[in-house]
Amino acid sequence: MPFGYNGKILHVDLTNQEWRVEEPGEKWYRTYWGGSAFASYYLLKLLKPGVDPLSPENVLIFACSVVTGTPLSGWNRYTVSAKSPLTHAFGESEAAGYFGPELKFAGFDAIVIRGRSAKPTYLFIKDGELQFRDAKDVWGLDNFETMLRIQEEVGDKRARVASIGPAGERLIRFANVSNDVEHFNGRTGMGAVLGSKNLKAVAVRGAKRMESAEPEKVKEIAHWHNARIKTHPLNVMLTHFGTPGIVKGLNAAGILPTRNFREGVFEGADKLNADAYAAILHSTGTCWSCAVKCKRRVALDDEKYPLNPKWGGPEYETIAALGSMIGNDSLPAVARGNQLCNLYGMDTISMGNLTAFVMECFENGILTEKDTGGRKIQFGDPDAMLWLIEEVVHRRGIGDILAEGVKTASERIGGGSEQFAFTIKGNDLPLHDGRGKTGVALGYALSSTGADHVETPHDPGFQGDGVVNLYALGLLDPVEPLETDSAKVRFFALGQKAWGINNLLGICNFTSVPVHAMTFHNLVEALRAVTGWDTSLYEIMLAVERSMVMSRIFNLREGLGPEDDRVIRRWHEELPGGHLQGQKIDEQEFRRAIDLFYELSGWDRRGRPTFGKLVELNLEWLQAEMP
Amino acid sequence: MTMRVFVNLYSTLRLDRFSDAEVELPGDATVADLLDKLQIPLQDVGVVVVNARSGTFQQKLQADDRITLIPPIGGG
Repeated sequence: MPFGYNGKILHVDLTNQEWRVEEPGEKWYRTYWGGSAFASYYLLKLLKPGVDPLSPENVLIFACSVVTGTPLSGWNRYTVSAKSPLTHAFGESEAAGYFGPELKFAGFDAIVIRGRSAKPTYLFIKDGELQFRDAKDVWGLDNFETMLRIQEEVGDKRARVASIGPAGERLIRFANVSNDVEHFNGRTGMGAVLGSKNLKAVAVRGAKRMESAEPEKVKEIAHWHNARIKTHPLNVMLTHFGTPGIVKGLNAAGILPTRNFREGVFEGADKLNADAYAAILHSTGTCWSCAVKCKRRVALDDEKYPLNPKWGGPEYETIAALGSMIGNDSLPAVARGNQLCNLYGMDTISMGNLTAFVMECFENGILTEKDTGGRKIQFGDPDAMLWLIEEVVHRRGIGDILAEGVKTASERIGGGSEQFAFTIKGNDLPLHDGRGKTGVALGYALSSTGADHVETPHDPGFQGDGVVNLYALGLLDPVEPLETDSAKVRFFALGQKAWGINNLLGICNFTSVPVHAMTFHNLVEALRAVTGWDTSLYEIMLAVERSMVMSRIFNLREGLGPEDDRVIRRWHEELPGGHLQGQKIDEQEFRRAIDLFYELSGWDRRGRPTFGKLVELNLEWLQAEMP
Repeated sequence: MTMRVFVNLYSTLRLDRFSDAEVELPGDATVADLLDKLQIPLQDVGVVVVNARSGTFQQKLQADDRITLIPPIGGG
């Protein structure tokens, strides 16, 4: 009997409304472990290169890990993956909340969805059985109404619903997947893939609980972990202030992305930080079995920016995306924009980048009021942001072009707009400035999903003795956040895999080893106690690397190459002010760091994993897939 | 009874303060007491390391301890 997981993968054929269960066996689970690796495995096996991401041929995966649903703080995340309609490359996004554990309790470790339903459909998975259900009454509804209606239709208020809003239905390229309108698989446009398949939602409900091989040991580690979280600095901050707590520090450090990454200091940051948040804070929330409680709910009785506590509160990324990034210092407007995006089902990181792009085009006369039916779109105007959200989600006027994402929109707009369109591998940038964190810059350049802030070590946290929690990886030297030398590449290569454990196993970064909330020793002890496997940190690190190499090969197959492993032009220019005034990333030095990463990783000069690397990772089967 | 500890501050915690310093504290002081003395709000600290071991706010300090403090400037 497997411990920690079900041993069952649900395969769904939407075209023929059929389903079957695959039982891949223990060796498969121990090779791939979960999340991003399960996703890469099925994308590589089932998808041919060159497929239109919005065609029925695309494959959509919901994946937990072998340990999701184990009651440790933060062990509740799940992956949604497909070929991305935003980047035309590997698409992947994680979300926390309650959906992942509930999917496990319903009897499955992952869902692999193919084809396209002839009419709007949603899936209801309960206790090992699947129902295809007519979505005609929920199609067109926002995420909140969709959740309520589906819970009513299936007769269970505790069913967990992962859904798309109107943005996903209308194939907005950065549409997301929502669960509880509080947790989002936000990045790379996974919501548009659901929309293209006429799939409105996946609802799950299960009565079982996951069994561990050594339940007493798991309980003991969970107890230790929760006690640590209650006194651990970052978690104390997150419990009291949530992620808005980092606005102040980033601004003081001179790396709060401001006005389309032009600056790193925002004059209105005090109005966006944790202290300001208190004025709209309604209550706090958490995710399944997590002691941190970092979620924020907001409320405001205001005619212009009304806020409903059931529609989610902005996290750091959104505060910067819809705030400093567009020169907006109104937190209620940020929160309103966030709630609209949540209801419609659009990624706030992409929406903020898109708004900033339009604003800079306006500032430079590339877009004018003629393009927007008379509406001015200027930095500092929050109502322009709210207006753009409506135009995009309804695909009205210029909104129809912008709905294709910054990269495609700039190609269509032309006129020099490309110089203000900042994406990496076609993905919009999370709100971290690589000029002050070169490890993050390397992460943005090298991630298979394009710019991705959860797949990379944030190097300022590893200065001085801050690196102590990575000693177990053999990293004994302090990290210099501004360097791109060989020591940084060594740190990055190991740090990236340490963070990669989280996407593989569905663990929240905030409760994980790199931020000092866990130790490698107790992580491995917990994995042993859950699965019963005599595993080790070495085996886990190999699994993370396997996962990263698989998504890399997916991208190589799609035609991506070393020229796509880069950062944005603006980061090669000097920061104009603040604590890091004059700081920039030297383009040639950065390229050398990328090349060194290839070499260190066992990749060739074109960034392709060598056959030796595939052998090391037990991935010989992928040699035939190499372009 | 007082004791001396060695403190390293990083990034923005250095602004208007110091990078390395010796600090005098009461003999029964904790990391939180140290932050209080340096007038560093708890929310400004993301990582505490005491003698090359990951530490907490409640941790009791001893003479000659080496404390590293880093602000929370990562994640999202």
